[in-house]
Amino acid sequence: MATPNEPNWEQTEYLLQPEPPRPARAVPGRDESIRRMRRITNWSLAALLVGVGATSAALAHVVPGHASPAVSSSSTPTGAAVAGNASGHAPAVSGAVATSNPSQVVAGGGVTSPGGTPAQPGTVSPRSPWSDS
Amino acid sequence: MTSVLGIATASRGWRRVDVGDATVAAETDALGTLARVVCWPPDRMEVLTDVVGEELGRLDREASRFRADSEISRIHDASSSSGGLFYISEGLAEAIGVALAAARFTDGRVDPTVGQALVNLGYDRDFVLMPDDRPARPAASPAPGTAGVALEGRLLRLPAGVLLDLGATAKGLGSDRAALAALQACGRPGGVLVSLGGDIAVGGEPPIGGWPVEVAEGLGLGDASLAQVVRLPAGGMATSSTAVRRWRCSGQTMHHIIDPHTGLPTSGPWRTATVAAATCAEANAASTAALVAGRDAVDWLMATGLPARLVSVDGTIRRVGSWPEADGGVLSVPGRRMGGPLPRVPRGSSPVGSGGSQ
Repeated sequence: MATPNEPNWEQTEYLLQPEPPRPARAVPGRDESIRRMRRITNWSLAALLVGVGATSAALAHVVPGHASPAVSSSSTPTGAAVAGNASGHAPAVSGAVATSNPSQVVAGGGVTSPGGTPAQPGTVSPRSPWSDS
Repeated sequence: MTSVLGIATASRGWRRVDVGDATVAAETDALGTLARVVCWPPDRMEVLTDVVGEELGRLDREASRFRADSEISRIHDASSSSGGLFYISEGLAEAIGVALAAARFTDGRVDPTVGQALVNLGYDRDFVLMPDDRPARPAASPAPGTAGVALEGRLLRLPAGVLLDLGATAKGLGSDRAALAALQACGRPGGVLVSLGGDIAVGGEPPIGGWPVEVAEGLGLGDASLAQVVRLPAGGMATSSTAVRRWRCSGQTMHHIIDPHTGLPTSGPWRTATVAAATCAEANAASTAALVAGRDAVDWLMATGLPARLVSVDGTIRRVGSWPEADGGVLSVPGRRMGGPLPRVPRGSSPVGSGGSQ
């Protein structure tokens, strides 16, 4: 007879039983994580699509093709483009505000604004070491 | 708005021009021609006219060969016999630098050394002071060319007898400078257009679609049906013509577009050329060069990529590049083609006012 500390070798059926199933919560945890990631990805993708769509719609509304430099073509006098400067307040002007034509001659050659002081020429050195003669 | 212009600008020689409610314009006589400033919002005009007036005055004091006290006239006086090396102002160095760049850009069709050729043809004073017929016999004197002219920073070397005439670029540069200074003064949002004798520079944010500008031959010259309105969103536009600034010299009709190679007025198939470019100085140089190029004008303009509009001596219009066909068409202004210094407001030239009403 077996002692209390020895296994009962006769109960072999016990040893032949299949491994008990893993705790039920292990599998649902991994799947849930995957599902959560998928949900996050899906929502992110949806938000991105909505954002892109809204931006495109807004730009299409404000910039009618090439013919709206009020937004896309503001520039410095040097012609260098200045991006993203649209204020949304640029006026609509229909009639010509200026004429590009050959230089019109008017009397009074000087400027009429203040500041017409005599010129202050720089240092003049007519006997130059670079002189040709 | 009206009271601002009516009072404040009138005292400085500016007069209001009605161009509609959304923008405001003012004009004055400057540099022997008409200067116009257009801006929005309208309440910034007082500041802008002060700034633009100061810039045009500065250019006149620097580069006018018709003023005995201008810097360039004094340099001409000093260099007439033996040439010389001169330490010149920052502004004149910029103006000469732009003129030399224009000579390179146009392959010598525009040349600032045509000064003596113009004098020999009788154009030796402000145009409004010229008599109807100069008795002197015109003498052709080809331009000596820019090879002998050296500019390094503010040091200018000028050979003996070389007279510089910056007429092909100076007005354009003046418009560029004035527009830049106005833009710095008025802040944003807002936009400004400066026209100096029909040579136009714009800055800031234009009206929707661009600044509407009429392209014409002006002063009743030519057929009014040849005029076209185009929209300029950025950069500059300039028109040159052999139909204006004409005079008689010993019975022969002269005009101010000189072929540097012959020293005589051009006689090509085109009488008027309008060009749009990244800067007004570049447009100014290109429009003059197109007239000098004569039969090669279209090919040269096509090579530059600049949109242009030519009017032949018989009134036929030829559009080049992306110049719009339709009235009201928007100009597509390319990037810079011409080198040289960019227009800038010099240090110490503080704009009047404190930055507009932004």
